[in-house]
Amino acid sequence: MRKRKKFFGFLSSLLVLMLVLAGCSGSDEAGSKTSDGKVKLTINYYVGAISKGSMDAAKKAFPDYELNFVELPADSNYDVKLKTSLNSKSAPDIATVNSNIQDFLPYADKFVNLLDHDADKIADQYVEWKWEAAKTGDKKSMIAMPLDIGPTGLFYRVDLFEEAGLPTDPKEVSNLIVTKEDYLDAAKKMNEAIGKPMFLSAVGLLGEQYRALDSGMYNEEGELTLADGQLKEAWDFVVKAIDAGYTLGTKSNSIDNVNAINEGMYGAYIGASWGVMDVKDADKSAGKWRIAKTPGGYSNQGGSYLAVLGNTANPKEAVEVVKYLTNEESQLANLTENSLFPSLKSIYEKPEMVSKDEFFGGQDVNEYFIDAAENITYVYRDTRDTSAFTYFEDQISLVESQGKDPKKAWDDAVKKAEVLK
Amino acid sequence: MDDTINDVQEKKSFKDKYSKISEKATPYIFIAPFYILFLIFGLFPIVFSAILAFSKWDGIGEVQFTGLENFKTLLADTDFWLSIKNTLIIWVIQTVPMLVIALVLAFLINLSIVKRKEFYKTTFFLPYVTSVVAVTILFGLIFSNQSGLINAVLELLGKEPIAFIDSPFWIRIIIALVGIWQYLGYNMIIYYSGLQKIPADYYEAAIIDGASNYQLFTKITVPLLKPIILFTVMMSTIGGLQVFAEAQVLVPTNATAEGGALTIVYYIYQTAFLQSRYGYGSTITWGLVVIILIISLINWYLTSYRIKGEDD
Repeated sequence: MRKRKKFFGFLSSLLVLMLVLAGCSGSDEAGSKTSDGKVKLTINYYVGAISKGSMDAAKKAFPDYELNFVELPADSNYDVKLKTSLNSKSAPDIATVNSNIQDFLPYADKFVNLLDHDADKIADQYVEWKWEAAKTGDKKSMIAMPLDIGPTGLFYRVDLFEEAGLPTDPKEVSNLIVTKEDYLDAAKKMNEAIGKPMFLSAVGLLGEQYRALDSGMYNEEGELTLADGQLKEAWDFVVKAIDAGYTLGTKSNSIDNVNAINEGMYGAYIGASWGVMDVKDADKSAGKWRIAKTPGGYSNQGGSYLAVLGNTANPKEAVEVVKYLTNEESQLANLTENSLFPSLKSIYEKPEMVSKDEFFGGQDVNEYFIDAAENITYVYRDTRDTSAFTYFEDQISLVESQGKDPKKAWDDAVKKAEVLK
Repeated sequence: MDDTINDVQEKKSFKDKYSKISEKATPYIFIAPFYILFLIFGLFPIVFSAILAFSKWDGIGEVQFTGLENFKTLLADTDFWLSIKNTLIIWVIQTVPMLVIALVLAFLINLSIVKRKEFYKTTFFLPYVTSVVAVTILFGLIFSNQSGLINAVLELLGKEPIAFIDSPFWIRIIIALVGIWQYLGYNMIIYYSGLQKIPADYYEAAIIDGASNYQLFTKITVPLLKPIILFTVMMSTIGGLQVFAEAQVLVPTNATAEGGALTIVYYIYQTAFLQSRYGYGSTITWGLVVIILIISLINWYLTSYRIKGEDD
């Protein structure tokens, strides 16, 4: 009798153990089909990358598929999670990748090669530089389709420009401030006339310059070239601006920056098309901003891609959906709902592209962005590009905030970049 | 006949064996759930990070074994040593005042003249249950370079505003302040419960002998609380050396060791998760383990030696 009790105790504890283990293992196969035989596709995207209109349209266009859109926060964890999920079975079928797509190119084999799915047939419809950036160095595989881009313009304060005796009309400003030297001259004028800095911060200014360079931090052989010496020029330019006191010294993406915009503490910055939405957070500055052509060469900041992950059970269907989500109709929805600048050239002619914005004094804000989109050139970027550049950002911020010797700061940054493997 | 006896014996011995095994195994099965979770979420990551410390890994591809190379890099890495310096400075200016104030507060609340003890205890403890991030954002706003409360006050007084977040001197103090604000009440509650254990007769006897409050505190409270003080010092050390969220929220971008805001854990985060250098990140982590061990040993040695009452 007692023995039997013991035996049952033993059995029940075994049962508990098995349940616990089962709970740990979880379901590794999420299932590629629903119960009624529909193809199931999961699409992970970070906030704002895909508009609601384009999602709804896609669901309508593919009645036989079950599309499951998952929104994730757009923070530094997004990439970490995406990278770690590349090897796992629980990965999404489709995911957005940001403009740091070079970080994922070394793992092209973990993605579905879109060139095997006739992607090159529609290549000429998209802006070339964005399209090419999704291909590996040997151009044999392409891991993602371009959703949107971030061509830049010069955002400037009309009221401060006027006080400083600078032109206020976007056309005139574009004609006056053409090179980065002109940009610095305008800063000088503003500083002398009204004692206000033209630029937000050293880090911001260096980033603006870096994005306009026509080569990356490394060459295609993986040697550190610092943009063939151009980075040093950009660095010296920023140091000049710091020494002359043309920077406010506030971090971008900070609450202080919104405050600085609201109070009109600085004159101008080079911002991307999607920044039109961000600048509106500073509602006190309504009507005071205009957008002109980016001085010192065209540049791009941001813009997403859609990739199909290699682990998907339905690659063919997933590619279809990606093509749909990046087509004209979807990009138009993204433009009108989320202010995402299209990567399709055909849309630039459309009436939806004309956006006369009262916040910008009724100016058509897209005029200079379109000009930039059509003229930006492709730049090869190594996977270490962002990390290496961050060292220079770190050091320039020390030069600005703590008066570190610029030469020593430069040498420190180079030293750090050299050991990046 | 013989066969059947044998059979019975065999059966019996099998049953005996079985019951012996089950008797031994049952307790293990009962504690298994914890151990299985510990293996998956505790031991495995520790072992894996130890392996990673000797290799190069980007999080996706193959783990490449590189031997002691990471450790050589670590010893020559000025950022590592500077981030240790930052962490130690923050730890000292946070822990020492916090524990002293917590002890004094606990003593005051414990005094019989103080009414509404529960109210004080709750109020002081509240910060501990708030979110670190929310609290840090609030501190960031107060000490903001442009629109901060403190700078507004300074300007009212006709003084120059201070760039708190950009200055290596101030940023460490602000990170420490967040820590003090957050953990003061927690340590106070621990001290308070320790004080409850000290028999009232001691105090009464001392008061009859004419001891002042200050004497009560230094001659009775502190010596009798030593084990509790040791515990809080240990916990604050382990916690304080792992300060991360405060620094990361106050200086979300371009935090540098020279700038003062890069703590060890922040440096680990930057290396492993922002640059995808998981191997070297693990190496720094083991460096941190060694440091915490050393400091804990020193702590333990000092306090246990003193607890024995061998101090003059």
